[in-house]
Amino acid sequence: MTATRAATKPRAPGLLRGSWLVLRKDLVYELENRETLAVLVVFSLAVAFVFAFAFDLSGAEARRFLPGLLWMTFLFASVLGFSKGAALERRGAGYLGLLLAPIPKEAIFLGKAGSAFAFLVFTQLFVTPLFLVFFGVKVGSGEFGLLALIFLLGSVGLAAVGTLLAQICQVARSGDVLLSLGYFPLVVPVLIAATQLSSAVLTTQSLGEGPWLQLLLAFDLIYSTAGWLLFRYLVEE
Amino acid sequence: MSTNPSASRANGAKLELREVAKAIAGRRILEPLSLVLEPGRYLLLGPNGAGKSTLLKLLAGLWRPSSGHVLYRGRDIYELDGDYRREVALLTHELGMYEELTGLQNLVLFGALYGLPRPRARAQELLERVGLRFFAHERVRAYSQGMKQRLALAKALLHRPRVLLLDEPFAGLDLRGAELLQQILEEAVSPGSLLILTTHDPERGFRIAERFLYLERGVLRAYGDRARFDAEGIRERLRGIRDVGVF
Repeated sequence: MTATRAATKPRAPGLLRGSWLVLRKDLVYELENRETLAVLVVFSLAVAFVFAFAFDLSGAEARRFLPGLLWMTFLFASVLGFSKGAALERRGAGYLGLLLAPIPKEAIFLGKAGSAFAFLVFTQLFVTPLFLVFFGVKVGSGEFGLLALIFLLGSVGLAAVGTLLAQICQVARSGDVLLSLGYFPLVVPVLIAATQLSSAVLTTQSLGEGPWLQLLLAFDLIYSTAGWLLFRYLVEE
Repeated sequence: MSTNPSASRANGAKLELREVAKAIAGRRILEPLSLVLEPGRYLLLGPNGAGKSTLLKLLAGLWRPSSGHVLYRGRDIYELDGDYRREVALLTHELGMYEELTGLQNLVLFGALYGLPRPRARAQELLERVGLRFFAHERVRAYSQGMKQRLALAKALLHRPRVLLLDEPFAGLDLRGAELLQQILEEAVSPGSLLILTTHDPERGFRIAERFLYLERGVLRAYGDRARFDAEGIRERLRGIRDVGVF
């Protein structure tokens, strides 16, 4: 390419800038439409009410059951989020525009995983206090910090798997069926580890002694790396 | 940019296909094809299912060939990666934009993704050019089909591509929109650029293009200038009246 061409053609955004543009697009859309957030709020309220009335729990029993109920809610809320996100990309085929843009393909994965992660964090910020109030569970600052760490680590795994599967669904044009079918079995290790760790925090105020933290970290790493490596292959084939 | 045709050709947007083939789910969509596309304006013709859209997607770098290579100025487009994609634009049947965002938001987003220094100003300039200035702040889902097509054209021209691939660009446009598109393409395609468009209306296509490529069942059956088009009886072939021999 000649110097003249280089001067007239602006530099395309790199990995981080490209990821941020993709993430910002999803955030702008959500802040303007509040489509996914509205569904999430209604869903979370409904689940919290049903669980609170169905299981009349208090004290130590509530602390024992709460992690499982919380992660089940996060799981279903994340499926809602991924389905909505995939629908946004499908309508108008916006994902085609992203694939044609000169940003690294990995930036699309990172941006989409980032927006899925942000969605999950919002879900956790909304759902957790709701459940704590309904089940009468009080947490100290130490417990809160550990729970936040587990929630963030769990969200990394869910976001990586969900983003990759949502892209497979775009390519396969299979709608949300494949997303749900593939997502649930793949996130089982993340869910088990995150639930065990959350349970340990609420009952022993520590992360416990089992291998759960290592397992959670390992699956976060495996899924994030797999998503990173497979994404380009998937979109180009 | 030089207006000297030979200089433009030497520095221009040249694409080369080397034994490029594409199969999807085991079905051959495009048979091995070797071809050099010098800068200029080409009309890609063929009946439905001939492989026209597939070829455009391969040339855009959207799909990877099952075998063979696509070269841009002598280098594989997958090696060039983003450096190639900022030189190319593809307009397809699919909008390639976000229906829930406004026309302006879409163009600003894609302008930023192409690294334009002032994406908003460029977006407004193009919205004006395609006659959508007064609809800039409306969501794309509220646009008519013709308006969407104009917006897609504006997006395709955002980064001043040197390789412009247009799949049925006249589809959904009314007479005024079609004339505007023709006028915009005349302005947008500079001497060193490469334009390939598909259409089912060769007459309209030849108002823009100088040469044609005729595909049938994934095989390039004929190519050349307007005289060759008439001599080979491509129009009749497109109407299903006669066969064209493979050369």
